[in-house]
Amino acid sequence: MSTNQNIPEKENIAAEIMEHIDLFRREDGRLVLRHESDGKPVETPIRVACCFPWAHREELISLRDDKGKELMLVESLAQLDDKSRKLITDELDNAFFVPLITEVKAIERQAELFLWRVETNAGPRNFLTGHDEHPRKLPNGRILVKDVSNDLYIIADPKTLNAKSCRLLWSYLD
Amino acid sequence: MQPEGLPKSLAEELRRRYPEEKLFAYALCDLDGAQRFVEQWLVLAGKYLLIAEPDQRKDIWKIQSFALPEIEKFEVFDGLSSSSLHLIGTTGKLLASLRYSRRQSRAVSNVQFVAEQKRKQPKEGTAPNDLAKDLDPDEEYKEAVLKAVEDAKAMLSMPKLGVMMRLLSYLLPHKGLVIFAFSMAALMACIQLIPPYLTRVLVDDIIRPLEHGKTADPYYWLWLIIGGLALVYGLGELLSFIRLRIMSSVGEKICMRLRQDIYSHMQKLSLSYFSARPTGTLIARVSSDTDRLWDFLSFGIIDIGVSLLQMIGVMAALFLQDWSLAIFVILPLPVMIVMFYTHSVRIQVHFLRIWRKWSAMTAVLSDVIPGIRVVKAFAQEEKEVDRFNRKNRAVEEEAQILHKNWTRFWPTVVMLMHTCTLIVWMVGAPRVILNITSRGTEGIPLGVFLAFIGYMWMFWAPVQHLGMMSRVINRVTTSASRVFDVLDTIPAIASKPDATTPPPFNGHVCFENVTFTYDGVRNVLKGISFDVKPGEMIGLVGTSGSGKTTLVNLLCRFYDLKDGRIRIDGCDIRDMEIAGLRRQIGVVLQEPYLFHGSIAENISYGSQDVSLRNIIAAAKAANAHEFICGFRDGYETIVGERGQTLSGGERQRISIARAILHDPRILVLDEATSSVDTETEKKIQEALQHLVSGRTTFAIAHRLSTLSRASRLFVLEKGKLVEQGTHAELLAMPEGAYAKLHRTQVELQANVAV
Repeated sequence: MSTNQNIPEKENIAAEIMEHIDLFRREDGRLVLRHESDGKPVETPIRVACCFPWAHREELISLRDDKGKELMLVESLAQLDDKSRKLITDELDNAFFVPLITEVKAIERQAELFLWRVETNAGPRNFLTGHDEHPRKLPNGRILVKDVSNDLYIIADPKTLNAKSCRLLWSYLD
Repeated sequence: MQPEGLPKSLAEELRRRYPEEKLFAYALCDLDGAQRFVEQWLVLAGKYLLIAEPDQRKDIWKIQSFALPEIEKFEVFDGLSSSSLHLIGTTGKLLASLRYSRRQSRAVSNVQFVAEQKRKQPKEGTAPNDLAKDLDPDEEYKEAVLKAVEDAKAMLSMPKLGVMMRLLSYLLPHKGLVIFAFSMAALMACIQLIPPYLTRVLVDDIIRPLEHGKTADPYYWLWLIIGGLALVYGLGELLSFIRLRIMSSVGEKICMRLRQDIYSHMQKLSLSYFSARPTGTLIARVSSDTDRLWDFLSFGIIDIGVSLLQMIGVMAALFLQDWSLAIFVILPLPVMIVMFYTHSVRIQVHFLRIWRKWSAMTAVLSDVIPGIRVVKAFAQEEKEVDRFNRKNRAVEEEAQILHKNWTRFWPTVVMLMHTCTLIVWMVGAPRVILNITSRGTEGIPLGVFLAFIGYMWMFWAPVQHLGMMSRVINRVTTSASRVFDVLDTIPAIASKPDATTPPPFNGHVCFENVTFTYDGVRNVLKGISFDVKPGEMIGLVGTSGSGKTTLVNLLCRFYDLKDGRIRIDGCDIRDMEIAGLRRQIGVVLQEPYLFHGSIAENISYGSQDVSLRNIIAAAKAANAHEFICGFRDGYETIVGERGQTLSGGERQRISIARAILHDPRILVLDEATSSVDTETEKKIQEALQHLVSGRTTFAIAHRLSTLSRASRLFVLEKGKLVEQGTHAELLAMPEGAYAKLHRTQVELQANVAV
């Protein structure tokens, strides 16, 4: 890990702790942090929270215990060793999973709602959107679609979709 | 793709494997650990919680089973768009982890709830009363997964007519005038057919015969025809004057009706409707969208009717003059109709997009202007101008695309017309020459040809007009459907048809197992039950986000309960007429809102027929009389927007006076004193004292000291009522939530004192 000279000393210490972060996946599948408390080793089940789940998924990740108390704020995943990074990335992928629309097959008007038939990176999916619920543009050019059940879908870049998808999407996008 | 219920094969499999166990509830978990959509069923059957997934061969099910006592607890973690449910075993071991998208969450939490209740059952030996008796798992599942769709659909009452027809239906009340105006316009269209005919007569019957000296007294005929032309034109102007006068006033009346309808309907809609939409777009719908309809209603509708009529009339005239030439004129008509149609479909989308961008632009205005103090305080004027300009430019860009489309389309249409004109000349002119050379035995007379050319141009005029109209129609349907959108929204909260106006309340308030969620996912209130006697003052205590404001919102019925019941004097508030309920509940908010108007008007807001004496009495009780009299204009001082600037404490006392005058049986004080200094707080406290006495009161406060007079305190924590009792009783539990809160505040004050 390269240390940046400009980082104030205090954060350097935090970075140092991070190097010794002892995360592992228990055999039952839970992510736990091994640390010492009163001289005894303890295992705390860990949950991850992302401060900027849309714009900066790889940075500023809060590790919290099962009661929701923050144990540590990871500045950047790049600071972690490979093993911990993999574990946290898996956890993040799980918690902050939003299907990516790869193809739009149809957008049909059903009464006042819209029925979308799409192909996503998680498999095919149909969903309904409300009549005045339009896809929202996210800061980094991605498109967010919200359906009536509050399920979310992302379009990474409308231009990379096939021609038919673009044509269908066009009138809904700004 | 959402299965309608438990697959038959799985149900059979379960019956075979667990014949003794009754199926209680089930849910679909549609995601796996590798973020793929899968089919996995969580089933509660008797004493077992089962997880079933189809094997490669579809008719075989892999089933994992857990006996309920094995499960220590359930943990739910909500992600961005999916949730996971952990089953934690008695040893703290993770037994299983299930993942599902939002649309399943209600069904999954049903299963979890029933499982938790069933797990308790054997220990307590009695049937849990939290659970509805006869659970039909299929019904439960269906309701849970379809809930969101039903809710979204229920927001709209389906319009039976197309947008256009609905708009036309607004003409009905004025049908006499409209028919009159239309007949004027139709008459005008007929009269306009005369001038080309007169030209024909002039040429063929007067001028041409004159060459052979055959016309007697040509000047007499000439002036007669010119006089006829003048008469026709004059009459035309008169008719068009009458029609415009009538229709512009009818159009304005209809727009006023629409504005009135849309605004009065908006007032009926619930708070949740307004919180979900930017104020700007709502204002746009009432103001600019209704205005855009005026043009169309006033002129467009009749123009279209008359243009069609004119086309038919002129077409007949063309065929009467010379049918073989007329065919060349009619020929491109089908092509044009197809062109108009495809064009209007294309630009319809553009109008929608422009409308959306327009409302995004107005949304910036309604967002920033009320927050102008913050903008100035942070010197962000330039940035705000930028933000507005970006949206403004987006509108312009979209409009430019539309215009490009339009300007490309229109010359094509005109070119088609000109081509036809050329063809008519090419075919017609040689026949005129033939007519002259053959001395009238063959071909067509010059007058007929000239009249024909005149009629042809008259034919293009309505065609062009209709083409132009397609644009107007598109613009109008966009605006009209926005207006009807609002009118079609069914108020989420409405009095039942058999609701009755409640009699004056005693003020006995009873919450029964109230559970509430704003978004359908997270419960803000969880199983709240309490009973408040008439005249009691209840202090609601808890950290922010603990559900205090939600609780009083529910009491006012700003939102409707999904689970549980709220009763006032033993009567469910859902059975009461809403206005009757709210009239008896007074609310004093943290940020009092004063409308533009005099102080007296603001104090008497919500009360009817109050004497000036009563207004002053209320102001006195609210400790407001003194400062109001200090104003030059006294009670007639204009406050609110563009009015006298009042301090927070002054505004608060006016709003307390408003509540005192309103004389509610139940009073809600939502952080009424938190935004003022201690001295003012004391005055407000005194004012509140007058207000509270004899009324059931719910007071929310952060500063615990303000609740010293409360008869009981309710402590809320994460949506649950964790403690209740008097100040002393609660302090007697040193480990209690209230005692902790109290300690922190005392410490805080001690720090300040040091």
